[in-house]
Amino acid sequence: MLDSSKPTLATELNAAWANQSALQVLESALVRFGEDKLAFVSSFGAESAVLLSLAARINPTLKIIFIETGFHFDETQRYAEQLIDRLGLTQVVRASVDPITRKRIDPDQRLHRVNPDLCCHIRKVDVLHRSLKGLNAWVSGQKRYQNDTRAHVEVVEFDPERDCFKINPIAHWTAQRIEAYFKRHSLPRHPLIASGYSSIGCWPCTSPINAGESIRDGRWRGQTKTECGLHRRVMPLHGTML
Amino acid sequence: MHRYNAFDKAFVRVRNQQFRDQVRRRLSGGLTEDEFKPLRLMNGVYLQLHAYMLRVAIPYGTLSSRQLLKLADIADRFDKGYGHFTTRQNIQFNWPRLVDIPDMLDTLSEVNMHAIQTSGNTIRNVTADHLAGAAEDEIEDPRPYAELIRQWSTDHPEFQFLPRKFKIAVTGSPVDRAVIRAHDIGLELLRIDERLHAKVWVGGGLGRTPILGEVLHHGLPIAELLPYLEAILTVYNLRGRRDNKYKARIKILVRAVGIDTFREEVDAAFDQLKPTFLGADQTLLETLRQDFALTIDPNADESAYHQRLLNDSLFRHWVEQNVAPHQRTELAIVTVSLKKPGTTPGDATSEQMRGLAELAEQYCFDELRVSHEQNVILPHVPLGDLPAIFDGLQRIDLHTANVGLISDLIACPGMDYCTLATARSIPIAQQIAQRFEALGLESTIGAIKLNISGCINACGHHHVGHIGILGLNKGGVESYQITLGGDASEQAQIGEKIGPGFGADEIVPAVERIVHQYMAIRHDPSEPFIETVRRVGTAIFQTAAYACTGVEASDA
Repeated sequence: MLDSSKPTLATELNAAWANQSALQVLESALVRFGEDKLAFVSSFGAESAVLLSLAARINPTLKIIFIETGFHFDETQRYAEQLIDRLGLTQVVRASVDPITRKRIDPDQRLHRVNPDLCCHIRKVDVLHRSLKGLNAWVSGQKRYQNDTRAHVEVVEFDPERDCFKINPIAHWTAQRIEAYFKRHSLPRHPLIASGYSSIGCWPCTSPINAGESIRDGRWRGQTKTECGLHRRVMPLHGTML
Repeated sequence: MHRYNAFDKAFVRVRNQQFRDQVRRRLSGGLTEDEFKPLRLMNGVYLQLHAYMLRVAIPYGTLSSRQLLKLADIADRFDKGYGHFTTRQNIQFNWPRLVDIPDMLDTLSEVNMHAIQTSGNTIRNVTADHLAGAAEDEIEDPRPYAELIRQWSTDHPEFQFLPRKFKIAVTGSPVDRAVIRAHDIGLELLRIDERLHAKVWVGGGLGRTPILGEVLHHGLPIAELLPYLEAILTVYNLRGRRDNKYKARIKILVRAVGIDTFREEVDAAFDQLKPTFLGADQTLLETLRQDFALTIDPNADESAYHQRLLNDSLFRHWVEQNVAPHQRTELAIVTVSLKKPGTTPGDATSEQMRGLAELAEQYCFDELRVSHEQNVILPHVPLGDLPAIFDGLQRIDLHTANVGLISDLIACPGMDYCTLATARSIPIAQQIAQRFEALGLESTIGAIKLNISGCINACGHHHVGHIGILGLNKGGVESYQITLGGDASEQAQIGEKIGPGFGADEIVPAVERIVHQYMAIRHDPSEPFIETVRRVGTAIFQTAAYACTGVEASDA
């Protein structure tokens, strides 16, 4: 049902909602797209608690998709349990690559060493793609300040590959504002922050950052790769990447 | 699938009639046991500790639903309601009465099965990769070639009285799942300049003198397969030792004369024999290739599979452990574990056999496989039917999700059945599986192959297990020796003995200490046990195994 009116609608909604508060954007989106046709996507990483807290304040039964790559830190798993419990979230769906596809493409679980793009693709991008089937919109916690790629993120976008609207209610938030929200709402921190991690993904491809580095510099360290691919146009699984 | 023709049927019928008469004469006292023995061994009938045993061949491990149903009926009518899948793609019935065996053989013949050449000094059941025609990494389906060899070798007049038994295995993939280097002849199909050839290994075997096969031919044109095999067998038949049973296998001959001399003799025999092959084998091969081709049109709707993954973590765990990708993306390969902790590895009840046959008929295009690892495989399951398979397996208690893990171990029957055994295998297998299940560590340990044999004849292939256990009798007491670093894959390796044996009550803790040592020193969870052993050697595991036993490894 992809039609040319959807990108136009995204532009219109973005113009209308861009100056609203994150809670207002979410409430409008729930009305516009339907509670059961919208899902939050969270990595339960360094700053994820903010978006999850916003969701819980509206309705803790909203659907949250947690992409389970099989390579999360134990700390992330414990943190996820802690946040789910603390915020009272009741519909956290752990989505992961189907085992047969995983074995076909990454039989010895070492793909991350030789082709991290393809590893992200099968474990995250393709999984999100499948999880969003039948939904109208997904909500992400991207912020413009995080890196150059994210500097132009809009509050409402249209994701043509998944035929789905994408809502970024805290796109314009700064690091200070995130920090303040954590404090005001007494949200627990991801345990790895204390060890110098500022952006947290899978353990093979995440490292702590040094003083002076940007917050996502610890991801795919030593490679030109900066994003897993969830937030850009997806490539077909059996296309050129294979 | 390949079917018998009228000639095959008549042949088996006549053989069964002959044997029926021989059994009658044995039962009436007309034949002594000594006279009867060579006759029964022509027909797969052994005498074990407590009863006769009938070993039935499952050529290249392939079964139809109808065949498996018949095996279930035989288990109920003539045995104790179960059968045992062996490490050579055979099924054994452990409790038949001699008087019933001719009827069992007639019943088998109704579904094109028999027990000919499953014993004696003949070319035994030809085995093959159990994932033939399904594996992603396959170059060529080995089964047409295995069937060609089976037809050539069955009742071959020259090779009914070889110096010793003779085992041939065929794989069509560079990933060896058929342990070809532990066979008298191992064949690997490969392409050279796009044309099909066979790499021929000779002189492999386990038993009391474990030797890995050597390359006899790097690329035999496939049309020359039978004359070349006949040449090998001819040389062996003439030159193999007949004076000493323990020196009679082809591996001893190859080692004695050297691979180069052996090759010269084979080449000379080949030159003589080749003109006698007039092309009938090639015509047959063409038919066989068509017989085995996978011509199915599976349901492509995968939604039931993905839906079930979302809301059933037990199903996901089972798929993760027991289901492999197929060469066609809309299909998957299901390995059904016959290794539920606490059971006898490789045993299946008649009810389980019937359940499996029904599942195969409904969801797997009527086909099953048995593996030398003593599991059953459903080779061509559409993804959307995986949930139905899982539910069906749960109903017959065959949903154990442990394929490739430590409890998926290989074990021979040992002293519970076998006259040759010097120690029990099955109870040790059960204890190890139950121990690791109770520890809840299996998934964390990851891929590992553990093999147990109850005597030096090594039916449990302990030499090529990552952890091998050999049960011996030391002064009337069972003693279990550990070998480490064995490998049955294309990186085949004979394991290294680590020291004196452990008592029956000591062996399980020793294995556990070895496994804990591995987990402590592996690079990361993606480094499997065998890679860690290759990287660090066996000494560190030896130390761990003997820790707190008071025994020094050097006492060996």
